[in-house]
Amino acid sequence: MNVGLFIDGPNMMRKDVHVNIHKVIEKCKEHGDLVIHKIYLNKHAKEGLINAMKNEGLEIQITPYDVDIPMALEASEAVFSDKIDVLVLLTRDTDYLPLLVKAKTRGIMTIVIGTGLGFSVALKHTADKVIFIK
Amino acid sequence: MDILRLFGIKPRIKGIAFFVNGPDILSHKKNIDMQKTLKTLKTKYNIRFAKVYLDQFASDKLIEAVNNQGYESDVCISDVNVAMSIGIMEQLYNPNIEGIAIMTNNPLFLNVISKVKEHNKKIIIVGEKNLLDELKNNADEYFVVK
Repeated sequence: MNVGLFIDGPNMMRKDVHVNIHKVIEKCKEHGDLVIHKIYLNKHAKEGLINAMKNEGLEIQITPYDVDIPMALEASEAVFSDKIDVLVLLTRDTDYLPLLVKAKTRGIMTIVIGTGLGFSVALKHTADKVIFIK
Repeated sequence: MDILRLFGIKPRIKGIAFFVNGPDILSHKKNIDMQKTLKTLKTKYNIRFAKVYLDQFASDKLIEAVNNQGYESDVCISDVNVAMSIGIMEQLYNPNIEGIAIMTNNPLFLNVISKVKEHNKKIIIVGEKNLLDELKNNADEYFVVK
C-alpha cells in the first residue's frame, strides 16, 4: 500500500505541541510504503526547523501565504490521481475535513495523527484511524 | 454519435466548471448580480455546473437565493478556501471538464491557478472591477462583472 504523509507545519511544529517526527514516519511506514512525505511551512519557519525536517528526509514546501490551500491541493491531487492508498495528515485543523471525506468516498484509508492538545473533534470522528503521539 | 458508439467511444459534452467563493463575493456592499453573471458566462462558455461555497454564517435566505439563481450551494463548516480548492482539484480529474472558472478576489487562489495550468486546463478568473492584478495576469482569461 502506498502511503502519503502531509504535515501542516505551522499547526503542528510548535513548541507547545511537541511532535516527534521520527515516530510519525515510523507509524506511517507500518501502513505501507511512504511514497509522499511532505511538510508545509510558512515564511516564518526558522532555519533550525527547516534543517531538522531535511534531516528527517522530508520534502519541504515553504509558502509565502497560508499553508492550508497548497497542502489541501497536493493532498487532494494525490487522492484523485490514485497515487496513494493511505492518506496520513499531521494536523489539528478542521479545515481539512472535506479532504478526509473525499478520500474516504474514493476508498482511501484516512489516518490523522495528533498529540491530543487542541485536536479537532471533527477530524477525530471522520478519519478511519486516529493516532496520538507524544 | 452512433459511429462513435460503434468504436466504444461514449459521446460527452465538455465544458467549464464555475466556482464562486461566497464569503469573498456575496456581500451587500458589492451587490453583484449573480444571475446576470452566470447568464453572461453561459453566452461565452459551456458552463456544465456552477457552485457557490458558503460558510456557516450564510443565512437560509442567501442559500435559497443562490439555488434559485441556478447555482449549486455548498455550506462549509470549515474554511471555504480549502473546501473550494479541493472541489476544484476534483474537477481537474474529470475528463468532461476542460476548464475552470473561479469567481474570487483572494490571492490565495494563485496556487489553484497554477495547479489548473499544470493539468493543461483553461483557467478563467471572474471578478468585480477591483479584481487583483496578480489573479488577472496569471489567468488564461479574465472577466469583470459590473
